[in-house]
Amino acid sequence: MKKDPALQHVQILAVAILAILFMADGMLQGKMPQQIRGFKAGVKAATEEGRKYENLKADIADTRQYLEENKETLAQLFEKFQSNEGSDIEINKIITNITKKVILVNIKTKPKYTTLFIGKEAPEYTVPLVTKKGANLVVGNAIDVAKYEQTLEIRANYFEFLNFLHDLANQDRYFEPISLDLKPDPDVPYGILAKVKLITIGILGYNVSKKRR
Amino acid sequence: MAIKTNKLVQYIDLGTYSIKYGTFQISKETNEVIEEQKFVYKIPNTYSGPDLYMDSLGSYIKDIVPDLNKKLPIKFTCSSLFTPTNISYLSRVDKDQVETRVKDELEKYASQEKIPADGFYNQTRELYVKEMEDKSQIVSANILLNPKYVGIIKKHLYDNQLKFGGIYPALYNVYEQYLSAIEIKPAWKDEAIVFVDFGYMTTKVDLFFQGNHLFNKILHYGTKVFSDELFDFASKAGTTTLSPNDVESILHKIGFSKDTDILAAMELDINNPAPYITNLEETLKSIFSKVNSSINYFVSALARNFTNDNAAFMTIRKGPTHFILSGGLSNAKEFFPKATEAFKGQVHLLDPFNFQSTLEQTNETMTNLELRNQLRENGPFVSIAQSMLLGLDQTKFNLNLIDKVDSENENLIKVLIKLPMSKYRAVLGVILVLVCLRSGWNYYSVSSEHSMYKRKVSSLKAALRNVETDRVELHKLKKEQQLLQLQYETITTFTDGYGHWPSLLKKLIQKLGPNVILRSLKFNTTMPQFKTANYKKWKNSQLEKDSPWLKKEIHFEMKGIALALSDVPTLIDSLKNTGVFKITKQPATKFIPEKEIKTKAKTRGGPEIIKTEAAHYTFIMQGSVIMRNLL
Repeated sequence: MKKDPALQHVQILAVAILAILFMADGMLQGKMPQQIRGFKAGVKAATEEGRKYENLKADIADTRQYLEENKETLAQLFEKFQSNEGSDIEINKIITNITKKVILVNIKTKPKYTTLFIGKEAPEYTVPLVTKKGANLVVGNAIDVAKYEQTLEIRANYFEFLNFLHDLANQDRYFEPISLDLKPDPDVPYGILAKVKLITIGILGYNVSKKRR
Repeated sequence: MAIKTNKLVQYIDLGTYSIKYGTFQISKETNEVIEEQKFVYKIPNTYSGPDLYMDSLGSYIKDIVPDLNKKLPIKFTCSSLFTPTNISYLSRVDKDQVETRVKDELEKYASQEKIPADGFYNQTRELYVKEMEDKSQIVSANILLNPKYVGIIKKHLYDNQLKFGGIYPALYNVYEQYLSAIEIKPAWKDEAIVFVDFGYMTTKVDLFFQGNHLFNKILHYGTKVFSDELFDFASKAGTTTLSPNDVESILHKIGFSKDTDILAAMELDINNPAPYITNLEETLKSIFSKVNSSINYFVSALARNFTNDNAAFMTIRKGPTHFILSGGLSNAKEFFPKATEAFKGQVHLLDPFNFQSTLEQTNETMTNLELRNQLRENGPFVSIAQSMLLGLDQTKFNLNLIDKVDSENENLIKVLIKLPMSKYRAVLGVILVLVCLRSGWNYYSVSSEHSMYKRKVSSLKAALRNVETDRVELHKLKKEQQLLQLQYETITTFTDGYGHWPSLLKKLIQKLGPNVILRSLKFNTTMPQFKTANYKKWKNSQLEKDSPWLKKEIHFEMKGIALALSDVPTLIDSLKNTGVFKITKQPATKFIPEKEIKTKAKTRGGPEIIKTEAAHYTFIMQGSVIMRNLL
């Protein structure tokens, strides 16, 4: 039986339409999972950011706890290493006090000077970024240390000198003899002529100079 | 004429006695209507009004469906019983009132026919207009079509997968034929031409003059009267089995020849047919008489007002010159002589498929029996042939009473629906449904996943709202912590190796012994330092030798006297054994021999004092102190 050409045409057309439908659908659906993948990546990134944020919050809690536990304890220690406007006077006062029992022949005070100290155990710290954008927040590890030096010339007998050294180690401030030059005093039994250079330090805080390194 | 030729058109002529249908075209060569196929379906029921007819239309269409072409839309030409037509003669109407009056006329006839006046399909058409100063003389046609009938026709067509092509009223059809006639015979234009169609229930009379359709009359008196009379005669004779078909046979074979022998040979159940045969001619005369009366009424009473001038009126007054007769009755035996007697003009019997030769007919040519047989064959399709002229003229599509008709070119969906190969259709359908379902499901699942992720992202983003504030907070806390740690580290670095100096001195003195005298003791401490210059190098190398952090170192130097040479190594050993002192340089010793030291007397003239210094050794010792070992 001869086929109706119109019918054949319609059948081919129908098949072509179905094929186009398939292809169009495939194209659309092929694109949709890509969008979903994009969203999944977005969720993954946001989740990662969330995790970072949780870590940040944990860091805050840990740091707070550390400060709560150590701040007070360390404060007692740090009192011995203060540097402020009254430190010079305080140091002179202490020295005057501990040299009462010896003969202070001469005293020289070097003006306060500052040195830089960079912590070896506490490296520089940068607050981690949580999202892609954020301020660059850096915590440096360089601090300024103030130094006070006094050179004393003392005449004392051996035992008085030992007492002087003993007193030196038991003050509210930290004193350390960095130079001791002892000679016998021929005029006094057990006499000693001593030249003592003392140093005391005070911590000023973070280094403010931009050229610290 | 903008008539499409050689294009097949499918028509159905809904008549009260028979339904004529088929596919036709107008030949390009002859300009005549020719049939591809044509059929006549005799209505099985006796006509009892249009409503009952329409009720039965479904079964009629079902009977003729096998003969119909489903691809071609079917155009209808209906009996005037379904499309009632009336002519209004409006004389001396104010020009601004014309529209209102025409509308009023339509409403009047609609009311008479009990058809809604504002029906979608009603039409009025001005057939003739004569302007006289501020007045108008108008002949207008009012064509009514009951919307209910249109609905019925469409329903039955669509139920049988057929297409609807519109309805052409008989009034317009005959006018088209007239136009065709005056095109063939231009001289006829200035003559009054009459078309008479003898239908089963009605007889239609149309008069044309100078290209205008001036008169139309539908006489509710048709060939059914012959049946009724035969039935009356038959009833009187005591039989009731005679049918309209019998009447048709009688008219064809006997007609008005009064030949009773033939009737006897037909063996109809009628005892005494002679009076009936005699009466046939009388009946015909009465029909002719009614036709003539109608024409005369127009010619005498109306023509004056609806002709252009006196000359035209006088021409009409003389009466029509040509009568073109059609209908089943026209091929009855001896009809033509009777018609010629009854009508004053030239009588033509309309052969719809040979219209040009119809116009050429003369009294002489009409004796041909073959012509009568041809008329018998073609006669029923007069309305269809007339309508063909209208249906194929693109400029006159608006004369179709129905605006919306089906297209001959089918749209894809319809074709798909009609696909005969149902297995392919089913497979395609299933594939389409599957594609739709698959797409739908995928879109649903992907979109729900999409919205879930969207919600998740937005909640996560909301949770991150205070990130920067917290980072600043952490920065502040870390600074505080770092400062504490740096302070602590600095202090531990500086205080590393801090010793109790009194203990150190005591320990040293104890180790000297009786044979060693100290002349000088020096301690020098190198404080812990941070060498900035080294820092960069160390950062890269991380080697201890490059370390910028320098540790505390305490160095000592002692000068003294030892009585014996061995006292110095003994001292070294004892100092080393403390673990505090580390001798870094071999001591330098020097022997000093015994010598006398003279000094002047303290008083003038006193004796000189002489002291003897025993022989001894001087030494210089250098080293470092490890303070942490002191404890």
